[in-house]
Amino acid sequence: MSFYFGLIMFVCLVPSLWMIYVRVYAGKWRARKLIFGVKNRPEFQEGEAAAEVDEIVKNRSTQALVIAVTGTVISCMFLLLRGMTVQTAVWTGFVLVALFAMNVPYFLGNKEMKALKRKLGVRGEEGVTLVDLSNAGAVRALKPLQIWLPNVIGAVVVIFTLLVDLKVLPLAKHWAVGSFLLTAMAVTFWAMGILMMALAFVMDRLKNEVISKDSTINANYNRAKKKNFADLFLLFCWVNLGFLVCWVVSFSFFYSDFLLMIALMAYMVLLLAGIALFVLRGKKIEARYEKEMTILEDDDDLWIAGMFYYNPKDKRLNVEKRMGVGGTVNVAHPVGKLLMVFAGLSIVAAVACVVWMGMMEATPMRVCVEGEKVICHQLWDEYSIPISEITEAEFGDNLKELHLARVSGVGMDTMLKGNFIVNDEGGCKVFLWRANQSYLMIKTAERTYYVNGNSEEELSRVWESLRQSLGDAK
Amino acid sequence: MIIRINELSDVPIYMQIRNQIVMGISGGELAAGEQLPTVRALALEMGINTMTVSKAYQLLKTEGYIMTDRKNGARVRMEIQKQASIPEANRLELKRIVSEARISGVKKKEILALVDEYYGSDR
Repeated sequence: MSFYFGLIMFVCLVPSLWMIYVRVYAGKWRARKLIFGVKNRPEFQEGEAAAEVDEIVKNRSTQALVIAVTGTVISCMFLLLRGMTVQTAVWTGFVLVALFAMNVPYFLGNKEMKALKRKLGVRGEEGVTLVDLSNAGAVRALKPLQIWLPNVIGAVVVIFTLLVDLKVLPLAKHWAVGSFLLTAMAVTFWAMGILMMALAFVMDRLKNEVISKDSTINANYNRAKKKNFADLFLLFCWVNLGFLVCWVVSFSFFYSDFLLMIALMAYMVLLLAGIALFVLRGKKIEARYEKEMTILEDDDDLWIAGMFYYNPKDKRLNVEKRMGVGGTVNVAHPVGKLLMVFAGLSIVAAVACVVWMGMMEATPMRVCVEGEKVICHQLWDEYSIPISEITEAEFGDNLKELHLARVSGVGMDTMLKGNFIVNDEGGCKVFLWRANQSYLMIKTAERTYYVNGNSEEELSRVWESLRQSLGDAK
Repeated sequence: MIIRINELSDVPIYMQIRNQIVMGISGGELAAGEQLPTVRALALEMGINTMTVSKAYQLLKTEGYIMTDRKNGARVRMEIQKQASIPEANRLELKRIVSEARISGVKKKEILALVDEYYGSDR
């Protein structure tokens, strides 16, 4: 299982690194619209300035190439790693580091290009915004019905899963039916489709760029770009629906982790292929309109490091990205500030999550009898079962016999902890170390517990002690 | 027609919009009866408040350059009332511009050439 996780991370990261390389660093700079987030101006094209740009682009592109190659080689090596926690920790850290490293030459290039602009005395009109009156609010490429359709079908699938989980439709024979695991997954993927749809509408309503005095050229250029975005998000929505349907069918009729992983990998590959196509089409559009670009708005200084748009005078929240795919937010906008804080917290949360998983694996799960109670303890979690309340207890020696579906709590390769459905019985408390095949089933009037801990000897001692206590009571 | 808004200018933004639409009508970039974007669409495109655009449209409507109705939005008037005289405020503005040009050594011929260019010599 952990190998497939590594493979998914590999499939996500490596193409992303190369796509950044192709979109930002590769190719001749003279044909580009932006050089490291600074608009390519006629002043850069000749004489000493051209030689300086040549130097900057060459150096930074070489650095990016080295980072991309290194990232690919290290990613290949990480495929050999085993253990879910190790894989999660290593991949999470490496994805963050690799993506940041890939951007470093861009940041440095942006700084150098801005310095060159200053050296050449190129100063745009500060605070000037150009708007094509004929195209304001009139250039749209997204057909609402097309993007609504996959999400409406997705909603029908979600209703289907809910009916299956409520056992109104007795179609699926899966042991986890009733745990709402199926519905939760369906809702998650459907929500992603809805998010894609919202983003599609946002991108379709972005400000139209003014590149020429001719309104028709402006309209065609912006329509082509918006069509590219619309197609990308439409593809995302259909691929998302495709995976959702595959998952529901697989879950209902022939559940297999392997098939699920294959489907997930196909899903990631299709999404990345969509992004690659989007990047190539975007390049074609820029090349097609390169000669028509007679107006150059100078807003380079509003882009911090060529990546973060900061303009307190702009009331818009969404703007098109200078680097990467899609849109970004105006960091000076109150909502933009909130979103940036949220993005920062998400990164911190991802790192914290990895640390937490590491702690879970490193800390032994202990089961013992203390006083008149069976105590299960790990980190800050503790289950305390008074022996006087135990109505039935059993010792099992084959953990694999249990069908466990998590409702809430932790489910890792090495351990299970929390509220589970066990062999079709809901509301069970589970405290199991997967490597230990022995376990205790303890029943009280209120609920059933399945517990073991790391040590088989400790569990045997608990079972002996419990048997004595229960025997004495009888 | 391209509108150029300068956020750092002393001229208020609604007046910049008004002035440029008037210049567009005068220069033929905006034809009689041509549809203008809605207040909301233009405000969104410019990244400014809708009230600012609304104020500019209101002023243009009062001055008789555009007409607005709920069904069709804002359009350039088919027939703009021809007063055939320069209002006093514009006369003073023109006087200021000519005076400044004369002080800085601009020839009368050059000013007239500019007037020809802006007015259109064939009209």
